[in-house]
Amino acid sequence: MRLPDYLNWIRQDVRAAPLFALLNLMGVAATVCAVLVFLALTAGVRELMVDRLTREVDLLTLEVVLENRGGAVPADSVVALAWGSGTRSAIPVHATYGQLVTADGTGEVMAAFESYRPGPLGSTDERLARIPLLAGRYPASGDTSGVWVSETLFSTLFSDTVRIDELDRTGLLYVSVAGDSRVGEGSTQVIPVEVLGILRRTPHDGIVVYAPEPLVMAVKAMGGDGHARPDRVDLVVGNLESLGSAREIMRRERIVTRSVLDRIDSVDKLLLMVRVIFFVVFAVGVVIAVFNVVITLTTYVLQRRREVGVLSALGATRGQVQGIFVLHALLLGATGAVVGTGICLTVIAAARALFAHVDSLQIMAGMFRLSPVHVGSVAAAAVILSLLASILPSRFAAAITPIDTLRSDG
Amino acid sequence: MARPMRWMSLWNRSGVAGAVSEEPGRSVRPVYDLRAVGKKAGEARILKDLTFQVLPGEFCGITGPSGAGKSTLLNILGAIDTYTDGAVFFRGVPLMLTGRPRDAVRQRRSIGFVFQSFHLLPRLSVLDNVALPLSLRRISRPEAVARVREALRSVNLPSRAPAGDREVDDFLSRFPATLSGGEQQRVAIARALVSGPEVILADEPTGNLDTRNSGDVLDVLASIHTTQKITVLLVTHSDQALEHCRRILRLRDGELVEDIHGPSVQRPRAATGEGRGGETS
Repeated sequence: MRLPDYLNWIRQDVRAAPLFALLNLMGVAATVCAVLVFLALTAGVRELMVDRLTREVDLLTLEVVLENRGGAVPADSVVALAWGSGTRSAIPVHATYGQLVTADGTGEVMAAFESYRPGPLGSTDERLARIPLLAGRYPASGDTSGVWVSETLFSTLFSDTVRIDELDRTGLLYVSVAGDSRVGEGSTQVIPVEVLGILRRTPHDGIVVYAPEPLVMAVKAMGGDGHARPDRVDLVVGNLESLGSAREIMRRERIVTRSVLDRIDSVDKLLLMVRVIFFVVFAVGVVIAVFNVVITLTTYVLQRRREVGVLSALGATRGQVQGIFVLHALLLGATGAVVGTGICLTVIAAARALFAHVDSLQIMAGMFRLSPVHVGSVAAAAVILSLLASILPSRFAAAITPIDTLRSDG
Repeated sequence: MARPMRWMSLWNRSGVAGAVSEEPGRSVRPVYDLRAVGKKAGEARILKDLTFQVLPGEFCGITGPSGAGKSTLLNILGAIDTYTDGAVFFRGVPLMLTGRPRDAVRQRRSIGFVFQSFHLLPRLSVLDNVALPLSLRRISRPEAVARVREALRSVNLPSRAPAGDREVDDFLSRFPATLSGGEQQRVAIARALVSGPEVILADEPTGNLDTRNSGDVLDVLASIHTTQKITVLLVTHSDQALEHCRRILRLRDGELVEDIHGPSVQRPRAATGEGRGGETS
């Protein structure tokens, strides 16, 4: 038989009982639609939650808890440890109120730590823009290569490890001084010093901290005489690989870290749980849909038992008889997938439009994310399951012998 | 129409699967060669020890009382039913129904079967019904349509004469339910004929028809037999039908009790049913 013959046969089935055919088609379509809506919803919820989380905390921020292991971890140790793992900046975060006092001896309160409490931190750029406040002066607009610092502050911060006049000589500290480089004890003169790097002895001897801005600012903020005691240091890294690397370093030192990825992971676990629950529900639905296809095709076989017998008597092969019902199932699955996807898109569009007009529900408008991968997968699954559902009925049809059906002729 | 078949006088049972010599050095293979064929259904023996041959070009009637096994025999010959004893050869090849369904399919395609109840597919048009054997063989649609027209012409359809192309097209697009019984049976004969079978098996083809339509159908079968040299085996109770037959096989309780050759057909020299039923001429 050629394809038009098969299609003609199927067309006759549909024309003979259009309502029956329509109901079966809608059964498949409804299943496809329900699965797609569910997938779109869970994908949308995940994206929404991740978006919320990363809006508050940068994805590339590793939160290092300093109060752990039964004692405080020095903030600069954390920075030193993190260095080399792609850390771009370190931001001290205090859970308690504190003051950062300038190290130039004036006792001027430069900033209240309260302003560094965790919370909506904004973008990385916004955060970086706030750090120079600690140094008492903003960098030039768009200047990200260095910051302006007080020479007194600078020398005070690092006086225990290196003298400023030794810096150039050692060759290990990359400090370039623009303008007047005079350094005098007790001087409060602000001179432009572009800090490109710092070499500093840390509790971990021998660790070199090369700290371009704004990391250097964090070091300064955390240094000094103990006025600044952050509870946490947020390390902002360049990429996720660096995040993992920094985290591994902290883990080896048994320093507790947190990341927004942990929360995303929690969200994923929660969604996975929801998905598993719904999967069970939908699995039952899919089984019912498959069973429905089996019943449909079996009904067609039974209705056309005599005709199948005639076909067989006329020389139809088993494959030809099976082909009729396999193709029928294929068309049912494919058409159901197309119709189901269409209904799903319509439902999602309607839901979005509805939610968009209700203030309290606007957030839900973005909760439906239907990806082409989901559509393709579900459509393929519908077709494959329909084909599987056709196995028994088609074999049943192929097993019909002419004599079984023609015996009534006497 | 009642043309004697001269090779039948040279009937013998020698050679592979009952080859029949027409003249020395030449043989004609029977269409069917049955050797002690029987069929059991449980304890019941539906057919018993049937041995006979059907030669190409015969118009053979199978008759007998109800329950004699006529239709069962025809179904076996049509490769749509099985037998339990003996052997049936179709054109020298054993009819194998169990275990080798492909053989049965191939054999069914060489046989045109006409059923008492027509068995036209009600959801298909006349064209699609008649073309069904061709579509099973993947014959192209244009060729199928041409062959359907030819087959319908052979069975004198459409009935209204002379039938122009338009009338034929109209008829091709009709559905079985809109046809008379006689027309339906002739369409069924056209379906059996369209693939050019070697033999047509007709199971009570006039059983559901009135006398006039029965006559039309029998005339069609006789015409096909004469013009296309197709072997016809006809199961019937009808005397009207038996009048068209050149040979009559009479069954009773599954046994062949008579093998009668009509006056215009020369009787085979060799006995075909030794020890069973005998034969008369």
